[in-house]
Amino acid sequence: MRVQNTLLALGVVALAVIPLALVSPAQKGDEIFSGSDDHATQLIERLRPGYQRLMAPLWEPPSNEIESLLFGLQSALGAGALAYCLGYWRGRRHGRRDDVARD
Amino acid sequence: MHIMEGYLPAAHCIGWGTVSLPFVAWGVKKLSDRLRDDPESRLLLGAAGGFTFVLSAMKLPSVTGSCSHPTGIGFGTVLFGPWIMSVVGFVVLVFQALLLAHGGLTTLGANTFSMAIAGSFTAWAIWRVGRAVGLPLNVTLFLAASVSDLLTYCVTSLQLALAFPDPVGGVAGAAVKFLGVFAITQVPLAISEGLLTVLVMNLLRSHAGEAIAGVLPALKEAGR
Repeated sequence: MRVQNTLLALGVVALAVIPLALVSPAQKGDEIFSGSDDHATQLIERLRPGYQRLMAPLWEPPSNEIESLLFGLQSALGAGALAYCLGYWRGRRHGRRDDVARD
Repeated sequence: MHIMEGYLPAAHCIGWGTVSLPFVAWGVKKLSDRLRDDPESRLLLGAAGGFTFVLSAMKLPSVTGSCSHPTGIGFGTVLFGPWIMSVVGFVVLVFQALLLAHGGLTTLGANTFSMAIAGSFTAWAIWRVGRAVGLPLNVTLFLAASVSDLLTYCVTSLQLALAFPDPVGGVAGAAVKFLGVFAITQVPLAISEGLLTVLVMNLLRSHAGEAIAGVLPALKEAGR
């Protein structure tokens, strides 16, 4: 199982790294690795030149740094919750096993 | 990536909202019943929600030279079913719309439909069919998570195509263009989500056998 988990993790890393190597900055220019939603916005503007969007976001992160802070916060909260649960179950099971060993 | 704030006509916003609302409402009912009958499942729900939070915050590079993020819906769907995961997906979308200017409030109905509803019901269908026909557990899990991820973005593309038909090719022509933006970018990310789902479920099955009893068989703990 440990081997399988290691391979799975390596697979995820490889899938994130390979695109970085495959796509050259010369090909894409400034837009390299921008969001697919930005590309969709551009596509909409090509399909409907002058399209006025219904509404702008109520609040936008004032800079890219703040935005990445909030995305980082989101994943930290998620990873924290997940790791708390895994640690809780693992600890509970081990605690029980130690009790048995002591008896 | 979800449909951006304001980029759907009002009629579409209302339409998708109307379609999504009953799913989320019924999901809230299922969720409160589940937590009342089985308070222990609160922790497992935290794990499923946590997984969705992490995965939908991870913007990953793709072979198309643009970035998108996975959805993290399949994992929790296997544990809690599609109705409850519709609620979890909805909560993530609200969080991202309000705090990250990612997705939006006017497009919340459409995005809820693609990620939280279509995504979770697809994962659920694949999971049930895969188990019924006896596919290996991890293969089924991988397929449920990755196809659900990919399908979410196919639905997003179709939603945009319906709203912005191509002047020449019509809805179908626009669908091809939007699929080119969203779906192709998503292919490697969907594979990543499948791999991560199997990985985290392996950890859960190794360490939390009793918490997932009845849903998935526990694994013998490695190295002990």
